[in-house]
Amino acid sequence: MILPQIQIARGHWLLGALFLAIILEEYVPLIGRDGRPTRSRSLVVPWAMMIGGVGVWVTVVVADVVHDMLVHFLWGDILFAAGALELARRRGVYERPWLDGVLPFTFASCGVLFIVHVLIDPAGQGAQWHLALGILLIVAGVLDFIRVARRQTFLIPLAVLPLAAFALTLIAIPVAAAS
Amino acid sequence: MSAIRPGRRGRRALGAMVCGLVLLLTFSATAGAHAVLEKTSPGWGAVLAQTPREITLVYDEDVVAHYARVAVVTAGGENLARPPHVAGSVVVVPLRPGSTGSYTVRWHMVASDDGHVTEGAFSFGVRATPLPPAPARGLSVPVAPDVLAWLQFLGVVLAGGMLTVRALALAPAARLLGVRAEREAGIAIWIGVIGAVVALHAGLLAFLVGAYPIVGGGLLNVINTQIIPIRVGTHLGQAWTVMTFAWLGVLALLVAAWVTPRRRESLLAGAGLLSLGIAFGISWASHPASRGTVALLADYAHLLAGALWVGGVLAIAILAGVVRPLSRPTRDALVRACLLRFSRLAVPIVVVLALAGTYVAVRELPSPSALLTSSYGITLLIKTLAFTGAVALGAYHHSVVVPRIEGGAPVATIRRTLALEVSVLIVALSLAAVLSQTAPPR
Repeated sequence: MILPQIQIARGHWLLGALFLAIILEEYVPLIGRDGRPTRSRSLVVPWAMMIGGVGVWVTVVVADVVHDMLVHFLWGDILFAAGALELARRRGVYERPWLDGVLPFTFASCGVLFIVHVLIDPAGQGAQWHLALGILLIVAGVLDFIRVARRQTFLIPLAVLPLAAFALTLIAIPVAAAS
Repeated sequence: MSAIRPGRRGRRALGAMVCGLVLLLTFSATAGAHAVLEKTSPGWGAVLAQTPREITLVYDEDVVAHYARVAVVTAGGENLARPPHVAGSVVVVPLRPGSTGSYTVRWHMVASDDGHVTEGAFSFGVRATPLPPAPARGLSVPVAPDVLAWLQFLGVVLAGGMLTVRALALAPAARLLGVRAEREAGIAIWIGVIGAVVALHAGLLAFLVGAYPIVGGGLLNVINTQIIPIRVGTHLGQAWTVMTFAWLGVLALLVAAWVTPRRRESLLAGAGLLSLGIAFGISWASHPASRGTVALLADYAHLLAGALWVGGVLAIAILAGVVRPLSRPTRDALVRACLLRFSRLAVPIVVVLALAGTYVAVRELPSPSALLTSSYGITLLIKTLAFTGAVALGAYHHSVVVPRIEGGAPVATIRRTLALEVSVLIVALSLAAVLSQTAPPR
């Protein structure tokens, strides 16, 4: 499937806006509480990850080139598994201490896959943008991991910053392409 | 640890966000800087009145003339292509005259901007229906396709056979006895998830392994293969596409069963039935599909019956092993009730398995002597022996053990022979996988 550039640009813009809304919905209610360890019970993030995982697997099926299939299937696996684990935890059917690390691991590993994608196809379209997106996700993963490991709410804005930057970068791609 | 619950607004927003994300990710960019084949003349799957004088390939970016390679191969393996003419992104390949039949076009290009290689294959016909692109000569597959086929069978058995028999035998028995076997349900979900995940990934690898000899070229270049014509133009690709979506559906149902205990049984039954439906894709991409609709349906029935049998025995074995939190009398009553129900299902399942398998074998083997003179026939013979052993064990359970248990004997008496039956069936399943990847004699 080969899409017109304008459609790809529009897709990035919408994806960025949606991602921004999801992470704000996830993290903003946690900011400014009384300092006790908190975590979100919102179902938006797990469902978004699971459906995102299925969407990425759809991309595996419609991909033009084999290396796109290989990167996307790993991406889809991580998103689906993370979404399922988060959903089970937030619905109260599965609880383990290590589940705190699911979201940070998801951000960081998706970031690594962005970079792997760029390494396979370094002259590919938007390679530098993808590199930036990968680095931002890795930074977000590391910061969020520190946040959950230390269980301190004042670190939440710090972890949200690179995620917001990731979303804004997605929004900036079509703007940069148009200018 | 305190928890923050989403408001009603948040839940409303969820639907819109999720739908948007699905659409976006579904149609996310798959274009890159590789030379992607955009248009061909003749087109993929076209049927022409006579051999064209030339074929034209149009890419989405310029390609390097020096490295452009195109072969146009007849069903007999003769290459009719002359050296290609390249002008920017357009490649024209003059052809020598050819005869009626199916032609495979196999191309290899290097993008002029980043030097990346792309490869691909498609087919067209001259006064004949084009066959799927033919495999390149002399190329072997680097990963054992039998193992991948076995893993796909295993997925159908674990997610399809086990969950369906569970819904037919265990769930009603538990309902009648008023028993809640939570631990067994949890294990069934995990086994189903393992089956679906294994089959999903084995399917992807099997598709790539199957596509590799069609495209040709080096193993390292295969990651730059343009895969669409193979996905769209072959049973292998069509079946993989549908099965991938269906396995994702099965996974979604299993996750839903995990997180919603109230609807767990119906969701597990749905996942089991969908998994059994997926098995049709395996038959669709196998040898019997080329023998006509009856052979295809017989192969599917054979696969379904096999999955139900192996999955059913597995479900009983798991039940006998894991319902320990229940009291001894309750546990015995539950296993006994399930065993009796499955025993009633087992006879028609084995009959269908045997009849469908015999029909497929008769269609595939040109003569009875091929059973001993071809590798396909010998594998079939060994598989039949394993199947006979499993039938003997099943008959022993049906006629000796089940009446004893029905009469009040402890269920523990069946564990050892049940484990033996599972082992023999897994051997038969492995042989079925080898058979599916062995060319039948002609």
